[in-house]
Amino acid sequence: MEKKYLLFALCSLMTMSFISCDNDDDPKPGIPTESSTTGVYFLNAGKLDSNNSTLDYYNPETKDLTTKVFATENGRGLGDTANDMLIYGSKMYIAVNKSATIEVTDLSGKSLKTINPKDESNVPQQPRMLTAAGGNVYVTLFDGHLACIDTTSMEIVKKVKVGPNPEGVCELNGKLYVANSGGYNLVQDSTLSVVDMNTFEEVEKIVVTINPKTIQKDDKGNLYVLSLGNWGDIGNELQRLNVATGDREVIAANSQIVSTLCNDKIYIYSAKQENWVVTGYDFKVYDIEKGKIEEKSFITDGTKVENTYCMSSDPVTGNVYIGTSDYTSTGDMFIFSAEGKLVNQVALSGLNPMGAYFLTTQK
Amino acid sequence: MNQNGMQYISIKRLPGLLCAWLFPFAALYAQVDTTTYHQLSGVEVVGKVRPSVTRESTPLQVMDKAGIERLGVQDLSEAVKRFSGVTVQDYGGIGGLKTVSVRSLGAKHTAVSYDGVTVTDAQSGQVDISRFSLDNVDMISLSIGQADDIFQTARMYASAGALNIKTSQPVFTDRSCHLKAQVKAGSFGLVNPYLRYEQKLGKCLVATGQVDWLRADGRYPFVIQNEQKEESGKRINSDIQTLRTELNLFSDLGKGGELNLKGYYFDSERGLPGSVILYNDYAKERLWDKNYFVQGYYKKQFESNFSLQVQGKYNYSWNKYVDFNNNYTEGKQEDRHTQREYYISAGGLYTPIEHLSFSLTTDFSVNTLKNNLPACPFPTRYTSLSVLAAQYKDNRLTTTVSILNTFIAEKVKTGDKPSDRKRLSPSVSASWRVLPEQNLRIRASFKDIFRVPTFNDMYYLRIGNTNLKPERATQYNIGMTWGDSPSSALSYLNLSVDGYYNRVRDKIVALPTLYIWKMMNMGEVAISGIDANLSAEISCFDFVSFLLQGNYTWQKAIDITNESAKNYRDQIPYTPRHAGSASLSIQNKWLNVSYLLSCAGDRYSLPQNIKENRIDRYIEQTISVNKEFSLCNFKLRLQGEVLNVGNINYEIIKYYPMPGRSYRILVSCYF
Repeated sequence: MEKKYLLFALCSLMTMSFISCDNDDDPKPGIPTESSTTGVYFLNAGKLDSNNSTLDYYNPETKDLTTKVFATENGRGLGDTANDMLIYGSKMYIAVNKSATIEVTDLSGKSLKTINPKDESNVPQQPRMLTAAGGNVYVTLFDGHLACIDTTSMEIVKKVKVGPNPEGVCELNGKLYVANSGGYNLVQDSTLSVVDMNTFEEVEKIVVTINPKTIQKDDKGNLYVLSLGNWGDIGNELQRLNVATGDREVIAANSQIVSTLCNDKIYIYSAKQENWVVTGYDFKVYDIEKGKIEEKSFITDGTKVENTYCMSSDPVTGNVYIGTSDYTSTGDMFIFSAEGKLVNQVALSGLNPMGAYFLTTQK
Repeated sequence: MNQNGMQYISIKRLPGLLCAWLFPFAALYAQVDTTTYHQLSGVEVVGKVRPSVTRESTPLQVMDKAGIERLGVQDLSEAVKRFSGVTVQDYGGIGGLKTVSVRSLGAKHTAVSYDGVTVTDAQSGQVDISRFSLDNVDMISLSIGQADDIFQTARMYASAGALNIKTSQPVFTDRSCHLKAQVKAGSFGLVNPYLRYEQKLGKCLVATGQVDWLRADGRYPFVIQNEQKEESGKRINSDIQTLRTELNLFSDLGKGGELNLKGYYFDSERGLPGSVILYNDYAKERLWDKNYFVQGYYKKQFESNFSLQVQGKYNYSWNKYVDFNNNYTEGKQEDRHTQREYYISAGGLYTPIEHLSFSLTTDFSVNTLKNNLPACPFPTRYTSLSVLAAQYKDNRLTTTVSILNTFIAEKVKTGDKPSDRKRLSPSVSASWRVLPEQNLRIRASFKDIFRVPTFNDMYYLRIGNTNLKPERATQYNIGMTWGDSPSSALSYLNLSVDGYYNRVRDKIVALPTLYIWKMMNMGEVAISGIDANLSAEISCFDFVSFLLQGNYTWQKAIDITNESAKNYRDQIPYTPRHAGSASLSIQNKWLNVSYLLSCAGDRYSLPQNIKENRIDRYIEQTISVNKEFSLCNFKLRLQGEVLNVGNINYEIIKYYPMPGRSYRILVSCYF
């Protein structure tokens, strides 16, 4: 734990040096290159209605896992169904869906503030996914809103209406792209809402494959949208969307897809189901430069990873984190090097890992 | 019931009266196995048969009206919790769902019958026992495996365990009408008035009518543990209002047989508080239910060795579920379901020679479901069940063999339909009195049964799966029973111990496939356990009697689905290793007092047996006092209870906290 405090001090210091910026939590005014990963958080959603979301901390150097960090730091649990997490500047933001809270913590997981988003009728709004851009943090609210959180006051300062049941959100060239899943509707939604960051208004909608879930971007002006399909004849599809030209190309389609974008590569888990049973799966790499999926499997050392549930990648080391879940027992996190060799496998404290989130420092 | 009560008191004082086999009003648990029931001469037997639990070749537990009143239980689930080998899944509060699971097989393997006809819910497959009132109940019994009564509907053979609810038939001696008026009130806004009228309409026709209305706001306080912190709050959105009415006609046509008709109506509206969610107490789900049924029963005895029995039922049930939530574009989701059932059962009992009898019963039913969900396939299920049973029964030996044939076909308007299902299910049981002079019996039984996938399992929007196979349950039981009546001070002492082994295969579970859940046959559970029951009555000085009853269950119910899973061989959720209950009632002429205790050991809320999933053990205690006053034909009963005396915070289902200390009073008059 001591190491974490050290880290926190370091990060606070780092933040202090960027005080010139109008929002004192904006971490990247000078764009120095990230050069080391000092810690990794794993967020476990737990099971719905079980109040068992947990946060684990992994030290990539010692390979030690510290479980249930949030509970240890705060003497209370995260709540029910933590869905997404963001590390930005000196703070971390955890969207806890069913508890309808956004926990803002320091880098050691100590809660600084709990945000309870509520609509005009004072009904809780459930936060889903987070992103940061331009000194602010943005969170999708499942009642069909995108909210902007001021990182200093740690309060929601504005909200804009988007499509139904928004999931992922991603910033590209001054615009925020929101995946409208419409998951509660009989027929799901098939659009991304485009919100102008300056005016904070929805300016257009872009049609994608039905039931969009996550959005990631590369540095060439492309968005990668994973749509989950209609649970029927349309399966999961990972699409590349060129925002400038409007071109959209499906780069992977299967019964189940999980993916993570890491610099110039996308790691894709793709599984085939027959009668809802997985009959075959692979892990492949999509080369953004070449615009195609490489032939060979990502995992090169023969490690078997069953029940893939989430994938994350460390932008500094290029390590790929694959979280697994069988929905009944606590999950595991498999850590692979960029070369596809198993670095470590750790047993998580909770069910249903949502991802790995990285503490990085500049040298 | 005053006649019954009066008889009960007077007969209790008859020395050496051992019989409970035919005698309906014997004390609770006074089931002394005896072959000397002919001693009953001189006592009026009103024609109700109470089975002897020690004589049964499969475990049977009975609680009759006298026992219910003596213990002061007012709710069916409270009564069922007194039985061993049973878990009542209780979501807390008056409006909370309560289902019965026998020996960890799951609630969907338990049949619930109301006056001989099973109550079914083809959609969910389980019966919420909180909707039945105890006020007009004459006897409840729970049988595990195949009960010895071979003259039952085929449906009663088609489950692993059965909870039978038998309602009271009026008894007229001097007057031709009776009226019972009763009010219950209690903590958390409970008010429950009840009115019952019984009328004799000539020599062979009797009618009863009753109505009861219940309301409660159910806003009870709770405390739950949130890591190192305690979170306290009040249950919200837990209000309930129900109306129940029932009409009964009993006719004895002499040689023409016996014909009973029943009409039942139930209407309720309730809030669903849901589980306690940390930091978010928003709960706006509501449920409306309407259910009515008419059922008939006809029985005729031909000559001395053949009788015929026909039962039929039409059932209509409707419910509306509304979830007011800003996640829906419309601000709410509304689901409406309508189910209908047409059911007929006909059977014959043939006794060619003394001790030997055969029964053949056939049931046919049609179940339909309609709802407003998209892609509702409007399924119709045709079920044909036929059972052939043979029984040999003498003073020392009872053996029963039965075979059930099931045929199920289903029709849908859209989408896939399951293939027809055919199956033969056998059961065998035996009970043997070891020594002629000692009332010690050993018993053994085997039953192989299954449950068909429910409509929800097969057709529910997106998660339903029409490829499901039935979930199979195999039960083995071996046990001993012993009963004696050693002296006038120790009126009786009964003991039974059973060891069992169950296996559930092709368990139907909801399995997620990354982004969506689907119902699958995926799971195998091995259950071994021991049930022990003890009951005794001690009488002192002719005016005080102590009734003692206790039971204990040890159970190892482990998941053996997948050797590589982290929960392999872990105890399945909500199944305590140790559980038990005990009660002591003190009967005297001044004030009757009962003390009830139930406890359960640590359980797990999720399949993995880790600390985080553990639900702590608890002991719940209730004290009940009652007093009856009689004046000529008028009888007044006053009763008061303190439930959860220790004000223990406990949960049966994780994050559905149970109420703390609460109070209830009852005033009832009968004339």
